[in-house]
Amino acid sequence: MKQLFNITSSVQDKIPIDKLIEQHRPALLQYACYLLGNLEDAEDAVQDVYVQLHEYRVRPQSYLPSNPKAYLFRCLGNLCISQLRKQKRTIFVAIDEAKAQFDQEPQTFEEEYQRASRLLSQIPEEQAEVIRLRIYADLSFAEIADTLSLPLPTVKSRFLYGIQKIRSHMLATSTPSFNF
Amino acid sequence: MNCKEFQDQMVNLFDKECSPDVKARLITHMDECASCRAEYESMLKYVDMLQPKHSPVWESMSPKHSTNGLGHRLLRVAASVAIFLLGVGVGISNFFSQNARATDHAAFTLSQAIDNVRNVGSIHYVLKARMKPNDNFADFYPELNFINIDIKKVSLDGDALWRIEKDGGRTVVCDGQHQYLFGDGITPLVGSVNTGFLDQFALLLLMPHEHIYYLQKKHFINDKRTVLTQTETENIITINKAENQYGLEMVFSKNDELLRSIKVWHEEDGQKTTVLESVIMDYNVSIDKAQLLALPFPSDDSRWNSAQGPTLNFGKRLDRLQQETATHAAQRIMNALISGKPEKASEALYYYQGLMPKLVEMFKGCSASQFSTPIIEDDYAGVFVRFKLATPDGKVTNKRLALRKDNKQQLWVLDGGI
Repeated sequence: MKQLFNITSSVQDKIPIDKLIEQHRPALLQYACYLLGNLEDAEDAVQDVYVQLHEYRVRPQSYLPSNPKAYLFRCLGNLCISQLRKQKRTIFVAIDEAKAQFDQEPQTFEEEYQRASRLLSQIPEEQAEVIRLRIYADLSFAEIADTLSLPLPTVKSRFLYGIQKIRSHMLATSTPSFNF
Repeated sequence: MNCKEFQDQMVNLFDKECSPDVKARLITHMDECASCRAEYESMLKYVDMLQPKHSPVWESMSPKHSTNGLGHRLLRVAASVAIFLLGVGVGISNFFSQNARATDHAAFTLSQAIDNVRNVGSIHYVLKARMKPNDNFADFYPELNFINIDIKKVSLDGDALWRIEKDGGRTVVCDGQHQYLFGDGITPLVGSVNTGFLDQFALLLLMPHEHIYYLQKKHFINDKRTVLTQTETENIITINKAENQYGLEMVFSKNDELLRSIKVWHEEDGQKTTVLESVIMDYNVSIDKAQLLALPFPSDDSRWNSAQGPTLNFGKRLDRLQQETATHAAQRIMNALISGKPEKASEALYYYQGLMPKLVEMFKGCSASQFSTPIIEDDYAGVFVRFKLATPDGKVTNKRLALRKDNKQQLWVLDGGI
């Protein structure tokens, strides 16, 4: 895979980049969807990453990524986050309010996205990021380690701690039920 | 493995690249230790809460070439079969039920087998299926005889190269960059590597993670009809009447954990009819690359048509066709064929170009009437239009055309039922 980005001729390098994006498009789109909240923005973001990758043709080899797939997801993640910052879109929801909505299964992507965003907003972003990459980008822990330039055990513990924290939040806010 | 080791390594069960050995040790420990099992299940509950079940991506990626709508659809089961047939690069994690213990093992066996099948260098399967040779890859017809489907797949430098050939009918070839569909009387089509020529089978290629999750939910978490039977040499997973009255049985050898046979049946009023059965399931066989990727003419030949559908120049005709209703399109198609002037509906008959003379001959002297308003069904991306067809001998039959407009210019295109 490494040599994909080392080709500097004009036409040939388009095929591998196209192919790379094409190969991972579903996971890229899904990951972006869960960051941005809708398909349209997600498609734009994937397209922007595609353009960015094409620009790498003209850069010196020392700047080329060693793991294209990991690089692809890192680019996309950064792009989505900077877009969210520009739009200043942050979701603040009281945990008990969120809890009330978790009893029912979401029926649409929109509901599901809201639920996932709420759950992930309760934990540190570094843990949420690993969970997003694992669940929505369908990357393995090793690939996530490459993507985020982290040691593998750190990735695994962030995933575990993140899920544990979500669990504690949910359990802490669970209210007793009354049966009449 | 003790509890401390389990706690340290449990996170690997949520990875997509956990070694079968580690997984097996974790599972064994859970069988022996209820509290570790409870801890894992508790974590799984929250991972499960985050798993996508709906997605705009999924909705927008419905199959491109679906069905003639008259056969029995076999969505979920066909898809789970397809995992093995194509050995697609799917990542499966959290493949465990929260409640049913037997189901855990079935899911575990399945997830391991998928990994194993994915990792083999080449596959050669021959299946017999009750399908129509020139029909899609989603519909089974319990009333028809079996035809053979030959499947060859080679993994090469990270690409999956494959060829699926229906005896006397459709062939689909993927060279890692494009998919080609061709066959006797079929318009030769070329599309990207993600084109939906394989109908529901292709959904797995397009959206594996989410779709597999759906399968997991359907068959292994919510569905208690999944049974794992273990013999000395084999693990057998049976899903009884899984979906649309279909059942599925997969047999894995314990020795190499590869899928060794598969069977799908249709069950109605207590009567079972096998609709798909494996004849040959070989792995790591020698496959000739040239033969695998052989096409009827070179890949850059102008005879290949784009799988994206017809393209019209901007103008009045384009405007008119874009505003046309499905009912009107169906009428126009039938009138064009009956009057012997198929060129009047050439865009709508895009997929049938090679069959035009045959179709004109078939509808000679017929008349079509009582076209219905479009009918939408959940599992089809297009619509259906019903009408009555009167043949020259005075016989009247009910027909149903499948039309779709998910092509570039949003023109109604005939997709089946003719």
